[in-house]
Amino acid sequence: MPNEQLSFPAVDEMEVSLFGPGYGESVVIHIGNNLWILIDSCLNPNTKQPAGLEYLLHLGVDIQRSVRLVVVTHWHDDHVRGLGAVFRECASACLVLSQALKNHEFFKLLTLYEPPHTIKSSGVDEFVEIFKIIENCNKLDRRSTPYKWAIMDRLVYQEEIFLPTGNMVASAYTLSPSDASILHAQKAFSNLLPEKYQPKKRIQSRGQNHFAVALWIEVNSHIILLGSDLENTGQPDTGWSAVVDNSYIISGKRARVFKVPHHGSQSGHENRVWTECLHDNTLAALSPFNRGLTPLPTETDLQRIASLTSNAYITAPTSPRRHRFSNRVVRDTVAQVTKSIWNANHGWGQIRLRCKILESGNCWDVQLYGSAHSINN
Amino acid sequence: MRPYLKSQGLNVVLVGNFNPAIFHPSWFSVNGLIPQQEADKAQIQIVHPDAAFFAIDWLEVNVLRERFQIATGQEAYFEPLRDLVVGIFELLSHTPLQHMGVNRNFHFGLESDRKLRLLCNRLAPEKNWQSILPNTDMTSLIVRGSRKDELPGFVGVKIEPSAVVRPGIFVEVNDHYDFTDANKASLLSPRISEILTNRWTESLLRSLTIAEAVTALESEDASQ
Amino acid sequence: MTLDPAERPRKIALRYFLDIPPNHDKEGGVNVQDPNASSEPSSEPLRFRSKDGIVLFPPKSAQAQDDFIAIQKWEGYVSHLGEDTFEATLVCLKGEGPDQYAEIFFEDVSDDDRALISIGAVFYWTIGYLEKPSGQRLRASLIRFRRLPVWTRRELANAEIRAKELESLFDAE
Repeated sequence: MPNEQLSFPAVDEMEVSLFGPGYGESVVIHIGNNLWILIDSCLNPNTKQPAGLEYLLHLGVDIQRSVRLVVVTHWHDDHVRGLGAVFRECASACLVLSQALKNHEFFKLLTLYEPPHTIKSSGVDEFVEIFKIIENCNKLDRRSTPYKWAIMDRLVYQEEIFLPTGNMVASAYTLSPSDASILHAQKAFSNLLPEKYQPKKRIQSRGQNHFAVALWIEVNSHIILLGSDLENTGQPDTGWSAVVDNSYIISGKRARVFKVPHHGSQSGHENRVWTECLHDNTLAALSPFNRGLTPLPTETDLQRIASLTSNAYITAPTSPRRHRFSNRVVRDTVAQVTKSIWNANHGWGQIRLRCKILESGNCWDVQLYGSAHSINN
Repeated sequence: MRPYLKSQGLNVVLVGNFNPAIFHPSWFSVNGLIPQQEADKAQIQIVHPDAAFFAIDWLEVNVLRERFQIATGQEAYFEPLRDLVVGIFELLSHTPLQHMGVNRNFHFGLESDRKLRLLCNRLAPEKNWQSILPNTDMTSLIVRGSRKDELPGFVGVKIEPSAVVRPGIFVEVNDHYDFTDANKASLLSPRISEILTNRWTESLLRSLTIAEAVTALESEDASQ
Repeated sequence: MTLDPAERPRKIALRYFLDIPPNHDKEGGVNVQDPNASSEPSSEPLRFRSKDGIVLFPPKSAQAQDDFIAIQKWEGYVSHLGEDTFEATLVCLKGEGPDQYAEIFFEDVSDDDRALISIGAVFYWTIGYLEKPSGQRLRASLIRFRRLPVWTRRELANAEIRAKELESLFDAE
């Protein structure tokens, strides 16, 4: 990483960094005074290390003491790779995870796909490690309440920070899942459970994005809305509709920084979020999802986001790229056996936003690293 | 010309208590471990309470009462072979097991007989034997070293002039796991699954690294 | 010679015994250790003594195996089924390039494996050369689906118990 990228934020400076390769995302937040929050985890494709953790270690952060929260917004593998290691290393952090995961069916799923089982599964193995850490903490009586279950409008973190330049209050609220989403979760996980005599396969961790945890962070007057992969379901009591209609935390407030949900997709878009919860020309950041025949965001999605703000950024390219195999036999064979083939992961970028906590208004500075770029250009 | 890989193979050997009579190709296909067509075409030498030996086009299975071995000479089937072992011992999870070896072998072709002699001489220097036995040639060398991970066992390396490619060198790396201290043999099946699944890539990389380091000794520039 | 199936293994064993020189089980006799045989410590020549006291020395497989020299290898998992193709993510195990996302034609999967193609199914795709014992070299592409025993009642029951343990862990808080 270049030196400037590794500059430590000032104690009275807030930072929001979004990391994303073509598959996966991770958010790192500095809330002031060398206190950090990590949200989700993905692997740096170059080093194969958890991106958020790697960044903090490069900065020289004492991750055992300085990380206050580790938030797992949902269980899909593009958001949890390396999370077990993150939670293990951040020994003082409280883990926040969706209440929708606290059910018998999800626990059973974990057990069936638990290592050393032979199926390497989508995200489930990271949760296995996390729950083992929690079990161990309970046995050793360490880490009082090392976890919290996220539900709508729950305060999961609050701290007053006293600095020479002024005081700061940092708060983190979870805006989802709703009660109805939690009820639906049980059935959804039940559908993923295998039955007797069925073949062993890898779990497909797609769908159920109305269980994801959207996060609302306030540091003094600065507000950040992190949309995770929360989608609209068409039902008023789940997904973004439930948040916009029912959350009292966001009522009357607007955020200046928005992590666009679900890779900018149409299903992750709720217009009222933009009109009622965000300032005009809000700083919008997102990561792409390059697996699948229809990578996200689509061209239409990019145009929509660009029309809603002139400050929109993405961590990596969305257009599929082909790898040119240097070996002729491989190149020829791949061309014959496949109808299409492209890199599942290309690009690696960081969108870094910083502002002085004690200043008000739109004082955010944007820096882009790696393949991160503006959508508006 | 650098040493070139002519062929390679892989076998997994388990030492324990087995019932060879079980290991008929039809048992494999009935349990979904190999396709029916492969089972139908299997060349069965014997399936008996004391021994089972059969082969399909990519696989050889040899089972005695104390020893189970499964082998392939085709790299495309290394992972299917691994899955087969895992699958077998998921079904036979109460089989008492004492040792496991994941053994990969390589036949490397060398540029010349001179390079072969140079390599062998580096491993077993002739000058050290001159006063003991004249005109020595290395025909086989086995060394054993510690594992770098926390698992009990060792890593063994066998080096011989190759019988498949001439001039050439044969290298076999024995990645050996020792379960004799385990309290309950019946708990070993998940342990074996864990090793074969989570440490597989590491094991294959280790054996390749060792083999390449051995063949690098044929270079004139290699340090003595 | 027609054998009663129950008798067959024993009589075959006797035939092998008679074919082998009398000092076959002495190290100084027949070279029972093939060159380049396994150095696995527990490895012994493939002979044994059955409880009947007969020493069997099975011959090596008559069929020499082909060699497959892999240039590129992926582990893949199926994420979508189309009309003539299936979509899969490919994780590189050997060779070059990052992970891939591909649409693979069904017809490039063997008949035996085609029944295994379903969402979540895992497979290995290897590209390289197949060398026949005759020395002939052919380009080869092999897609082989993973086969594991099916989920058993016992595994599901154990998961049920463990799930209850986890529920207790979190309900106790």
